[in-house]
Amino acid sequence: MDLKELKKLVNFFEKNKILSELEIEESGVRVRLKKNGGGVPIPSAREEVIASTEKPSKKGAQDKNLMTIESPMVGTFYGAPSPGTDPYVKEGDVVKKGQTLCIIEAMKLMNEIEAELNGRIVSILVEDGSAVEYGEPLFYVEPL
Amino acid sequence: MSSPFNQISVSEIKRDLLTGLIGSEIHLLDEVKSTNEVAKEFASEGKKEGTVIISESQSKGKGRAGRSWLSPKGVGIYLSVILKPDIAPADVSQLTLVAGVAAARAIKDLFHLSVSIKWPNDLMIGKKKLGGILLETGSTGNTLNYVIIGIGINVNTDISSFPREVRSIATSIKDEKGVYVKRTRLIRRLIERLDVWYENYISGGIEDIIEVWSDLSATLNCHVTVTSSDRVTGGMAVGISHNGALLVKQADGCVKEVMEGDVA
Repeated sequence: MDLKELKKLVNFFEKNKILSELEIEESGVRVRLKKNGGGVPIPSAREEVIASTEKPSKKGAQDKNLMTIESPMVGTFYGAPSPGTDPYVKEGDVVKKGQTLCIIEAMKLMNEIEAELNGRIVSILVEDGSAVEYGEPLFYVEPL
Repeated sequence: MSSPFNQISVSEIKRDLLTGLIGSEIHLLDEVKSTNEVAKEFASEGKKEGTVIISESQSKGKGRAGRSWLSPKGVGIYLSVILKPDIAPADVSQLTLVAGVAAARAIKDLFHLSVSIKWPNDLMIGKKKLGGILLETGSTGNTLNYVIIGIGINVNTDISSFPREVRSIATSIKDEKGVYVKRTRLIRRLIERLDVWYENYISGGIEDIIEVWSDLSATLNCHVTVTSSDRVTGGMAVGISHNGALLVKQADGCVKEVMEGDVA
């Protein structure tokens, strides 16, 4: 996990009202975020990064059993079918397995990313029109 | 130009068609929003690999990034093919090259026009656009569910009927040759070429295709400026990577891989 991803994670954690604590482990790096009682996030104060030899988990946050949907290719993230139209999904939406969540575009190729499971979109981690890497987390989904 | 001579004939396309996969099923429609949309529906309904969808016109023909492709009735080729290759989503951009090579070669062979490919996949005659290719795919996790190759070609299209801003940058086979041509012949050739190059790719990988693509390219060995959603890359186009990314050698000597953007 690089600084950009960490920022995204902190941003997601701050915005999310359900989560009071979040622990994520990826590529041997574990990050734990915790909000104080007043609901104001204090991520950096309680953040710890522990090197680990364990294999990376696909789960976004083990406490909440969130699934991470990653980009299967390098490209540009589009949340809507075309500019100015409604997005495929919004945070909080319930999605069905096979439903289109977004498009990743590269080289005149529009790849629709379909949901791997029935669930609720907890967080959209990427901004519309931004470049994404192979394996970059796009959504956190709570399985339903 | 709506003489029977120029109507698309599926039976004529299929007569003695020597393809292994593509064109096993051909659907000719009168008007659709976009042949890619129909192909996507067909793919989700379980239509088999190689199914071809052709329409006489498209009301919402698609270009890249939500742009449109003008598709007037009875004069162009608007065609989509359903493929279901066993490859990873990260490699599917290779099929953009396969489609580009097949389409450029079909037009070149049949009409002896000097067609080139502008990266990633515009079919060009000189500085003018003759056709375009748009791939739409669907994936779940790391599994590719389907690939739709959409091809649009201005065949007997009267470019002077296009809006002013498009006229200077578009051309058609009719405008280049000075005569109307038979769309059925070109569709048949397209299907044959797609079949050959797709088979070549599946059995032998991308190397042959990169070589042919490079020969047809109007972009390589030129100074380019690539504008994408979040950056501009300038330099000499020195090649393409195995997955079709444009390799741009910048002024500082660094070679950068560009996966998307508009080339100028």
